[in-house]
Amino acid sequence: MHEMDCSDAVAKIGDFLDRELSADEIAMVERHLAECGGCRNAFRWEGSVISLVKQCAQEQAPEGLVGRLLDGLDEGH
Amino acid sequence: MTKEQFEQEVERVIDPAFGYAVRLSGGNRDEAEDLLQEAVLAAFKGRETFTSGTNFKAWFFRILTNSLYRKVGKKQLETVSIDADPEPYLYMQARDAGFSGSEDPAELLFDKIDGAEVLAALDALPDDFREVSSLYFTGEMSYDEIAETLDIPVGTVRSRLHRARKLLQVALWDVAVRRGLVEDISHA
Ligand SMILES: [Zn+2]
Repeated sequence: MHEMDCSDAVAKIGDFLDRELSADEIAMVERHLAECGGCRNAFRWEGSVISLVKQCAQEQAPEGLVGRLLDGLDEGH
Repeated sequence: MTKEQFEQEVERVIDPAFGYAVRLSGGNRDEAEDLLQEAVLAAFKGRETFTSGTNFKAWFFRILTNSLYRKVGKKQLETVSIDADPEPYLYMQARDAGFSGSEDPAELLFDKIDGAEVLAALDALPDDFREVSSLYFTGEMSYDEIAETLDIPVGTVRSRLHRARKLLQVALWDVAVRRGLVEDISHA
């Protein structure tokens, strides 16, 4: 099977972190990362950005919101 | 779908739905609640159009998205000049600034960036990018679910999301530079 170089690996960075690759592709990326410190760092930075934004953007619905939203739904509608 | 089933489904998706509504409302939580209320009413009214066994979340989020654009109209995607290269922008900037790259990026920079600044960067994205990013970051959705919600091809989701992430990284690096974080660290 074809081995990845750095630019192949970096091209897959987003899909890899989002778990949107096939098992074969994941294995290829992982093989490259095991050998390449530069790409490991790049992937870690990329993953950190995603976690940061996810963490900041996470919301919890305010207390009682579901009740307010569903209140007054009318079976007849 | 019975009223009871509908209520259970809404309850199951309420946190990500609220998060998505907040982002669609540019961070305004009261507006988000109004938007959700409209969407819940519209969804309940049209519940016969939901095919049981399919993805309720995508169906409901689509109604939520439409509720917004019915109110404010959708802006056309601005021509954003950003190359599609999937380069890890922040990592490369950090390396150019003299970091070794093996530091923990969270400890180095991200823990020092305010959540409000991150959200401001997200809210400043062009509409089409913000939509996809909000579904991804707050809606906890896969590419497929996002595609279904917005009725666009998965490839479009992928390219918008990847470009949006690059724009976010440009904005975050900008925040880090403006706040002197980069200088502090590279001189430490
Ligand atoms: Zn490499």
